[in-house]
Amino acid sequence: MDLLVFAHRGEAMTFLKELELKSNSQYNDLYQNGDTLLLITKEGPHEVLVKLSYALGLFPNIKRIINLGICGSLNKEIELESIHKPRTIYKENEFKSFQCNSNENKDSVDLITTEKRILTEDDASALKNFATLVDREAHAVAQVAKTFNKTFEVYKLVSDHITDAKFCERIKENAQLYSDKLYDFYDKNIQSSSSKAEQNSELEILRDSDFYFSVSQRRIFNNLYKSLLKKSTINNEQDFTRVLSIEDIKSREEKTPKERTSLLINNMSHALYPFRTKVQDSLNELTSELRTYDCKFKYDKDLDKKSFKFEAYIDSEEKRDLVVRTLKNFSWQRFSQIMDGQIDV
Amino acid sequence: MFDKIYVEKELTHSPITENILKRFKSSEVVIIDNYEEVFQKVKKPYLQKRETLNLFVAQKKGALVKEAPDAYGLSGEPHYYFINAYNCIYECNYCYLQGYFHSPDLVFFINHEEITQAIEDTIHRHQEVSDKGIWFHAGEFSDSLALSHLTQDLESYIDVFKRNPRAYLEFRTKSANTRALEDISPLPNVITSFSLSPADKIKDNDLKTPSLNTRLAAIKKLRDKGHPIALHFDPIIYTDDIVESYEEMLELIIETIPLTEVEYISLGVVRFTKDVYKQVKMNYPESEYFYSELITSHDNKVKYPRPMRLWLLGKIKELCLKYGAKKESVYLCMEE
Ligand code: SF4
Repeated sequence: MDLLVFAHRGEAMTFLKELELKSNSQYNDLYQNGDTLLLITKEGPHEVLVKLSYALGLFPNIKRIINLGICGSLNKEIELESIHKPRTIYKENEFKSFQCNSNENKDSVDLITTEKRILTEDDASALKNFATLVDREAHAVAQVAKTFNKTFEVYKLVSDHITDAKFCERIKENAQLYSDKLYDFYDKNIQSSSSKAEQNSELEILRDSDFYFSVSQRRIFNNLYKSLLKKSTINNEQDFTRVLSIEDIKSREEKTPKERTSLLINNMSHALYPFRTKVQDSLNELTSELRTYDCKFKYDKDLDKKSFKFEAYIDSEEKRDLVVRTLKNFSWQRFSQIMDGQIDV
Repeated sequence: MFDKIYVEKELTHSPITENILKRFKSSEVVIIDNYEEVFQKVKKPYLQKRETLNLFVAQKKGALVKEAPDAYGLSGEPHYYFINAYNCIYECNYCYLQGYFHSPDLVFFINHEEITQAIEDTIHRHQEVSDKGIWFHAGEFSDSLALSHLTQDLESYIDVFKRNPRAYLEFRTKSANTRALEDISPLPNVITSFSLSPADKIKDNDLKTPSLNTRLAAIKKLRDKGHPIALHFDPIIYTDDIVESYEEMLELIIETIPLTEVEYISLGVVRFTKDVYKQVKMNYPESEYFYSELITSHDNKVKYPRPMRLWLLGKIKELCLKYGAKKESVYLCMEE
């Protein structure tokens, strides 16, 4: 669900009409049509903080917040009526800045949000050190979006160069034009991207009845698969099947589908973490005897601590003696060497 | 190169400022009282340096010389660093500066007289109580040589060490900008140290820095002029063919300078604080660290597991010795 945020009704008028948005009965400043919501906050960061937070409380399904509106430019070379997606959003007298979520089509201009309208060149000169565009809302939109963990985008149309004294009147006169231009931009560049649902290219193997993936195994599998694609020579599912010896795993008839999935995940992490696998193999070899007597030998899962935990189930004197003897024979020196990296790689 | 150059009012007539402004005529110049009025006032994203990089010409106030952390250099002698600049024109994707300052803009501190005085005072204080050597490092917050033709400060620092032969100065660099240094007579206690990695790792991770061959050519130039050279193999990053790739690099190095002539070689394995790692993830999400064997260790650092770190250090040290390094010249940067 997308939420479009405007400061003024004038900026939003074309959107209200074209998207056939209807006023929400619970919240007068909010308009809705299906999956698209539009909020009019009124001018200034405080209005945004209050109204946007309230709207997000009412509609927790909102995924993306898109702030559209007009802004001023501190640089006369920036064309009037041009639309920008600012790179970084600053706020006057505030340290924290925000970067827009997407890196695509980002402009190399920055924007600063101010507490009051900037009308004179004096006001403007201090701001020039930080940004080129000035508005009254974007920083607050970003702040709320971050707090609620939503993605946000900001698009601003340059309505004036800050030194123009009479710009307020002009904005009123041109409100329809600005709103049309913003809608046109939204229609061509923004709206379509929201419908691009995340393409989850399901892999064959996830539907293969020789394997069974629990929810957590599926998550682990997906993460490992993604990492393997980045890291190694695996470029597609064919490579994957070959490198991970999938056919071998499938031919293990004695295993259940769930066990085959565990084997697969194991093979994947071996391929991804070859060094760790070697260390683990060396430790497993070293402790194989201990483990035969129903004992548990646990080392740090990150292999970062030179220590281990040992657990034994003892139900007879004979077993006790056996465990004590085996533990005594356990080579601390070899364990220490492995943890100090003295292994063949 | 610079979008804007901010100059502190008191420094407008300094010859260094004039030289900088002469070189960057197209940059907008803004006169300010103090660089802190603007630098780090807001959080400027690190990668913005690619598009809009500003320069501040300023004076460093407060502590000008600081004690270096443990594992900084050859052990047994005290190490200090001095601060003559913040930030760097390069973009190594593991660089801790991306999580250190709130702005990637460059700051040149040009009150060199005060800084050199602070160095000399530290040397004297040390020598009153000890007859051991004492080390000073430039480049804790920047690359020591990359912009030395602009900062024009090498000579004034080197002068201090000409007067104090029992004190050592290290310029640490990844650049090949040896112009300023080539015109200065070498001193046995002023060492230029080059950070090197196998050529493909430089390409992947030391973004915007000179290639291995270019750095080696710079080493050759300085060596031929008699300047002492040191090497840092840091950060070492694991690959399946790490032994072969370090052997290949060492072959190239010994064609340039025999390892017996290298003052010291320091070895360090790639590591991050958690904050820097977060920044790296944000700035370079595709980099190899995120698909590697790094773990978050119990000391909250992101690094390879212990056996892997120690194996890497042991293996690369072994290779250095095989290629002629003296045992005592190779030291390991370890935080174990
Ligand atoms: S050269 Fe040094 S200071 Fe510069 S980006 Fe690389 S690691 Fe950072």
